[in-house]
Amino acid sequence: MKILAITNAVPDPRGTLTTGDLNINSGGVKWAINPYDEYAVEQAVQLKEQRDDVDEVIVIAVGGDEAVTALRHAMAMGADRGIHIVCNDVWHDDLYVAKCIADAIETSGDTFDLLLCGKTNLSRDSESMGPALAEFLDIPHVGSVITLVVGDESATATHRVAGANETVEVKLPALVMCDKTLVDPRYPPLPKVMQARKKPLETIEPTTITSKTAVIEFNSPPEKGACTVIEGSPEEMASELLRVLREEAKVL
Amino acid sequence: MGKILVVIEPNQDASMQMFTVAKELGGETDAIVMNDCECVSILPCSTAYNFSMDMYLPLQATDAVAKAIEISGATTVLIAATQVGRDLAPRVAARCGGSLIGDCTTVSNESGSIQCTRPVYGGKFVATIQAGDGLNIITVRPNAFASTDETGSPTVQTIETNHDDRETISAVEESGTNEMGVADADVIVSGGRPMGSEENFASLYELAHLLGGTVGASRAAVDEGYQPVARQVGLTGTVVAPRLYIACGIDGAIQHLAGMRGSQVIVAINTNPDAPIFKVATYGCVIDLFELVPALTKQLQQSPQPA
Ligand SMILES: Cc1cc2nc3c(=O)[nH]c(=O)nc-3n(C[C@H](O)[C@H](O)[C@H](O)COP(=O)(O)OP(=O)(O)OC[C@H]3O[C@@H](n4cnc5c(N)ncnc54)[C@H](O)[C@@H]3O)c2cc1C
Repeated sequence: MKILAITNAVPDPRGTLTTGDLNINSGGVKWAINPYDEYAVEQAVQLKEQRDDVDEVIVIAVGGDEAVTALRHAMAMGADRGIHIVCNDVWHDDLYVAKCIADAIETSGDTFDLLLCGKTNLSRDSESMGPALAEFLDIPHVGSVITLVVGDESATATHRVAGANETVEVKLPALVMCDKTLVDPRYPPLPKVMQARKKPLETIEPTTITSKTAVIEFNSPPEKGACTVIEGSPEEMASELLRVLREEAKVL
Repeated sequence: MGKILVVIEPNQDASMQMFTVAKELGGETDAIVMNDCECVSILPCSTAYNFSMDMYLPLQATDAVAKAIEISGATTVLIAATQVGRDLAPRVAARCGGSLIGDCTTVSNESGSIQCTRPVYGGKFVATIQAGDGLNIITVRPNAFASTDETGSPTVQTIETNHDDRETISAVEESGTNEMGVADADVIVSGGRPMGSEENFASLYELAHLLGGTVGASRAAVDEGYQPVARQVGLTGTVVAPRLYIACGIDGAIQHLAGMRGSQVIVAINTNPDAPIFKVATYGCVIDLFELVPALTKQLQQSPQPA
């Protein structure tokens, strides 16, 4: 069995970001692995540790130099090797990323039984890459997975839907989008980080496709008007708040 | 503007809002309803397609929507960015060779080409995106547009789809209540660390239900075990944009703001006048939440919300 984990680099959420040319100004940005992708990599590595039929865990990312940060982190966590699809525009839409990965899989000749990715990409604020990739590969997928059992021919995945936990059985090969609480991602110790630098990392060019959509403006969100402070006793505050919500903001 | 196809989830007000978007774009509109629903014959559109699917399954739903796109000749597909909509849209785009613009907060027709804005980088920025040539699949955040009461008398056409045996729902376990999820709520009353216990959250549920909404929580409240992870709002929780967000005892850490600053109206209830939550709030109440929440609940019980 071969497992592919898909990863991305995102700006460290603690850093400050400024606007650049139709994107963030990437100078000085500290990049880290997308937090949800850590669940995907952890799940892949745990499967390899638990089963003796998992030959390889491969990790793949699309992006510029920052993608290497995510790939090396995933290899430090235990992935065996990495594939870096080089794409230097900092903005690429999810469908483009999914197509690049699908094409890379096709040309590599590798066949994967299980593909794992994070539920959300925190740069693009998006959950679209996984379902799009599954569709390009013509395999089933399950979103927001919180428990996963992988058998020989199928996988059983539980995810949250409105008011319920739904369990879905999918035939392999399949793609699973990992949500938090699925597994507890390990923090790789320094020796693993050093070892990961020596693991094979293949660099490939994307196929000649481009994002079909384009970013034409990139701005900070409009400032909210100043906050209106409501005063008085609890009862006065409550009635004034309900009044403004009904009459001024018209949201009730 | 070419033909528009609106995708409708039964009993989902956010889906009805897509008709408002369609009107704004201007163009003949068809709709496809997931699963049989009485609503199909009165939707405000030309042709309404429907298909049978008891519970959402991605492969089957993609198949049905792709067929409707083909039959209707639609060049724009509008889907509410609910949990189901977000899951379905990328598959449809990939299947039909279209482009995808997800999670839009505005959608407009600029001399015949579609432009959308959507938040990126945890809501810290807003990108304006130009749609591609040909087919565009667009998901729109719930409550970014008003709903519609308009009805129509469309031609109804049933689409045949088969269950794909590569995907099967094997169990559904009700998670206690029928409480709506935060992503789909119109009104969210959120609690932070000072709530102190799961029991204390009951007062927020009571208030939220009177307002027709549900409850959210900060990560601190989730980490303390007061609320399940599914209720967490923020960067590593759910990103929400309800019509009304009431933050009770939430400081307003950047990771929390990333998940809710797109809300239409924000009310902050906090004892500390310098708490960062007030920077994004529309209305601020500097008070102990345990005093104000019961007062609000009492007044709403006396003069309930019109349904
Ligand atoms: C990588 C990362 C991701 C994160 N993701 C998220 C996320 O998705 N969502 C999230 O929420 N957080 C997230 N956090 C955590 C975030 O940084 C904050 O720690 C957290 O939001 C604080 O929660 P809080 O406001 O409930 O608690 P506190 O920071 O303890 O604030 C409590 C607030 O309540 C006020 N208060 C106290 N008593 C009362 C009272 N009786 N009445 C009224 N007000 C009162 C206080 O003045 C204070 O402002 C993340 C952090 C990191 C590092």
